Amino acid sequence: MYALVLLITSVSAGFLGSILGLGGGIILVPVLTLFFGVNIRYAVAASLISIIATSSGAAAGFLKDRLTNLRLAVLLEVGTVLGAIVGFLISRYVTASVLYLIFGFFLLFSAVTMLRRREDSRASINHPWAEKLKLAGRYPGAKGEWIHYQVERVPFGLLAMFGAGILSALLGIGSGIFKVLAMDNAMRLPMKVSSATSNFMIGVTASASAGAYLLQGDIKPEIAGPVAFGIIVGSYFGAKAMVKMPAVLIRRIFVVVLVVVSAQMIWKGLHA
Amino acid sequence: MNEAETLELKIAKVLRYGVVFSGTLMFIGWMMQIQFDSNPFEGFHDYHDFPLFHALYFAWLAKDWALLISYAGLFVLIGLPIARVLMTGILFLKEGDRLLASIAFFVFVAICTSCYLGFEL
Repeated sequence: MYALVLLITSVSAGFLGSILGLGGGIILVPVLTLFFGVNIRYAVAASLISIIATSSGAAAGFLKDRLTNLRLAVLLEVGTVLGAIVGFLISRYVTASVLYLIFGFFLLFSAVTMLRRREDSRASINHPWAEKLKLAGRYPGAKGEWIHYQVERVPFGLLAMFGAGILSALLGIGSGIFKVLAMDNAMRLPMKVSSATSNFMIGVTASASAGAYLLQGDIKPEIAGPVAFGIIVGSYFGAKAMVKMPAVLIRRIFVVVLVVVSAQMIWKGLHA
Repeated sequence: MNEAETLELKIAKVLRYGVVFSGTLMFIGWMMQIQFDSNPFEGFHDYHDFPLFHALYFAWLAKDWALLISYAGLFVLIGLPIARVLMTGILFLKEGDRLLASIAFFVFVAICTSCYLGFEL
């Protein structure tokens, strides 16, 4: 019964995550800890598996659609992977109550960010590092034309990715929200390119710490198995349904849910 | 289609089929050990330090194929992004971009180091 409920939850998490542009971690970790009573460390580790599953599946599509800036992704992965290593090392000294608090505030931040409108601003100049590494790119427009773009503030982007990597390893999330924010606002990439490149990167970020958690024995197949399978199935159907769903309405409902769950996680962190 | 674009498509295919394969393994492993009349999460309320190699060793001794197949699926899934980084480095080498290839290989080594830390700690 419990396993079936977890599978249904994972499928729903994958479905919702696909529609809302989120990874499964933001839904799964609170459900695993608050509903199933799983220790937060096991929940974080299992969630990282779901992140890898969704990212790897979606990344294939983005690569084929020529939206992902592969060169920029590789550079920014230096920041996220180093951050993930630091996050994994820190996680050994962070208590469960602190993890609950950090996760609770992260959910609150996500709720606020989801209400905010993304602006499609473009970089007017290339940062010198972007020139040297040829990070500027192009992507196909609606009419099939190529739209060229440039990349600003590369060092700031790297620093933001380092912070995103730490959070990913600590909380079992993809940190896609932070990555997209950094690429949208600091590096001033087009929205489609930010989303595709972020999605491409989050799997690598998650694998950096997932490998360590796996070898440490924190990833339990009894939890990660149904979670990963459910997320893969849910994401597949979510991607298909996305075109027909009223994403704005779902987003608003989800913001309310995020705020409620955030309050529960913060409460648990203060009273654990 | 040039060689770089062909390799990009190969990377996309490896990711897509790899996810399906690992998901299948994990589903099979899960189905083999599922118990509908008990709570499988009872043992996970409290954290216990139990390294992977101990779990694999005891699973092998007990011939717990369900657990071993599940772990195989996990290894494949975690290996996918790591393989993707390596293939991306090779892609940049084929394009003649040694600087970006070096960065990709650095990321690959960093991920392997992270796994080693999990083993050592």
